[in-house]
Amino acid sequence: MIEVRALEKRFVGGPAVLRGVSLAVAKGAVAVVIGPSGSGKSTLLRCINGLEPFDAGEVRVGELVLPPGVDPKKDARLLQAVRRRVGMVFQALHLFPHMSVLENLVAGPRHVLGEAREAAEARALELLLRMNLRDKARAMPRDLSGGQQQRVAIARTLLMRPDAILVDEPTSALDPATANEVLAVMVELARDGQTMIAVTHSFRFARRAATQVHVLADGVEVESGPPERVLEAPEHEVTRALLEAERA
Amino acid sequence: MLALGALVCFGRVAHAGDLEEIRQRGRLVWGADQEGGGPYVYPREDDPRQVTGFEVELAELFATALGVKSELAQGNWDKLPDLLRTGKIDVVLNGYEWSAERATTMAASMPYYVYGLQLLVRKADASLASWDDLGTPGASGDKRRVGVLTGSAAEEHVRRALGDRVTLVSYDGNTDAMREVETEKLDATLQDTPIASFYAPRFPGLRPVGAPVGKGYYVVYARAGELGLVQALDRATVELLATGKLEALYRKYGLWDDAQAELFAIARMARFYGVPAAAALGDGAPRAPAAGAPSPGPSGDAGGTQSTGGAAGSAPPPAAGSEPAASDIVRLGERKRGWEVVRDYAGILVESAGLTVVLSLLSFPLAIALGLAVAIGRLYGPRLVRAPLGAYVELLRGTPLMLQLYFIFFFLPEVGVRLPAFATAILGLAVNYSAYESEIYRAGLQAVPPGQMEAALALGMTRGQALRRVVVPQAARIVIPPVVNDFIALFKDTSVCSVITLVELTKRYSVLSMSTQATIELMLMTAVLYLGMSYPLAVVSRRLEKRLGQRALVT
Repeated sequence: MIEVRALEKRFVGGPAVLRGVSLAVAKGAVAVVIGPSGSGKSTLLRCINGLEPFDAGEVRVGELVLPPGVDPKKDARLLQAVRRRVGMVFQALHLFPHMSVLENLVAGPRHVLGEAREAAEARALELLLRMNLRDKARAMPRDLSGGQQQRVAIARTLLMRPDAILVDEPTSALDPATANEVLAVMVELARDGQTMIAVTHSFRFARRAATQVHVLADGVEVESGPPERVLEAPEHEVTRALLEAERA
Repeated sequence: MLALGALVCFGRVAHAGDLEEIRQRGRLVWGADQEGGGPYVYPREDDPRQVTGFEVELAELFATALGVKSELAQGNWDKLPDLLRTGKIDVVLNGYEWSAERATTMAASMPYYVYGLQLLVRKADASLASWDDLGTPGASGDKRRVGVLTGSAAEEHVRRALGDRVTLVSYDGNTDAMREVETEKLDATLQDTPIASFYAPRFPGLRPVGAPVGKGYYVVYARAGELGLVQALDRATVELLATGKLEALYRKYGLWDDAQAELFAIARMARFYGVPAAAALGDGAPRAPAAGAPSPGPSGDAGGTQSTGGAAGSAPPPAAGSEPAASDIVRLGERKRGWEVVRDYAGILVESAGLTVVLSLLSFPLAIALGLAVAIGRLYGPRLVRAPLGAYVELLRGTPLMLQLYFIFFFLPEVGVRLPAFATAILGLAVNYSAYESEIYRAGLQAVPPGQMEAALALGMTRGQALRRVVVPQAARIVIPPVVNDFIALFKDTSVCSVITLVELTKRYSVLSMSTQATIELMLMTAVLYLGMSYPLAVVSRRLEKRLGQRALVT
């Protein structure tokens, strides 16, 4: 489904952020990318989605191939095609503040997929119901709690019916109780067979839903494997340090 | 840009030309400025929507002689030659003096009036009895202050006659300087004789000093080379002199004096050029006797050596039988005051305010559209268009609106693009304000967090969709206050459009104020109208901000 090969990325004038990262996520798989701050996790997601051009390697989404150095204008069609297959939930959410929750949800289906307003709203309301947000359809984003906003952001991405979704730090800004609400939604999605790559620095989601775990440190994948193995018998010191920190 | 193109394409090609074209068209389009006031061309006192004045009637006489109707085209006085050159009018007929300089760029007719320059001082000021007194300091020991019309023959005359022995103060309006003498801000003013005599009743505190000086000639100007038209006008003038119609006209306005005898001398020459009417003038003395009135001083004569007693305000005794009935004589009524001014002029001021509103409402949406296109081009467009768009903004912000309007109205016709005044005003205002708008939108667009664009792109939107659905709507909320501010500014800037012949509210105020002297009342009414139109805008803006503010900004 998604295949990342030997990805390298260096910001102009800065250090290398990704130094040859590879990973493959099959249909229905749930990959969790874990690692300390600054390890390149978020950049990896942005490269897969084409928001960030990379210097070497390639990203494959189905039969689509993103080469190094994509140009947002020249390669607009390719990027649009990739993004329709791969949705993205941003760490900062980026809900549209001038639109109600429902408008946020149907903007994509209506203007990108060309759905009729009624059809798009029906799907959106159904999803809101599943996420326990049916009564917030007419609310503005800023009137929602952090957890509610996070779920709206996920719903907005899901309504585009992407083949896979990329989720960046879904719980980092939330208090533990709220984080649990959001995790519950993500776990349910995973059980429903939603292909997903989630970046996080906590193991809780990995334990409950991951089919594969990748540990990133300093732009390099230091360890990967099924969650049982990586989380129970970590081989690399970075993984061990992360696990220690979680227990503390 | 599209709108700009449309305006250029559909702009009516203004058409004016030689005698043949005037006859085919059936109209003689003559240019004048109502702001010049009486007795030339000014709003009627009983109906300010109509113009009157001796030049209005003269233009009708000329038109009749050509077998056509006359049509007045309003233009700022100093811009009339530009209107002529660019084919927007057929002739300039508005107290334009003959000068060697003008005669090289335009074709001058024979004179239709011989004017002099009359010195006016305060009645109460006994220290000024002659031109010589003007050169000596006043009671305070300062130089005397003399007011003149900017760029007029009077200005030149004072400068040559008195040099730096007086302080010259220039005014744009004819009667401004007369009022200033009355209110003691000036010691004296030098005015063309028609103005000095016509407005004498309005300025009872003034008196003439000496006889008129600095004789000159009012002529009609046509485009250079339009000799057929000029000859036709000259024939008409000779005819009007021969039949006494010109004299009757001038007597009606109290303008006839023995200086006009020279017109006959000039007209008699016309018989050498085969003008039949000229023969009727005979060889003898002019029909108008000059009993008791002083002859005007020689041109350029400076000193205070003129004989006293004659005054521009008092016309010489008329020729027997040619005196118009008293009821026919045009005299200014009492200066209107207070509610009388409101009653008589509120209507026409409101009408002119209508043009102000129409100009604003048509040009501002265009400015918004253009400005938005420029801002988006500069922020998101290809590198190749960013620099030209930046230059566009700097050029339009860095040069005065008035200059841009001149450029469109007076220069573009030279390269074949002719726009009517109204379209020029809309286009000029829209283009000028688009520069300011684009800077506001650029700031507004940049104030929207970049994550918003990314989120929209990540949903699969194109950049265009992302801008339209996500970024621009948010920027719009940010820019409402500065945009409303700009709209109010544009609203008031429409007054600049008077330079390209449009009579909007401010120009109407100037015209009326100059001819009625009811300056304070008219000024207050004009201010109330502007405020009455702009204040509701401010209120609407505040409401809009509040309402949108509730739906706005930053999660």
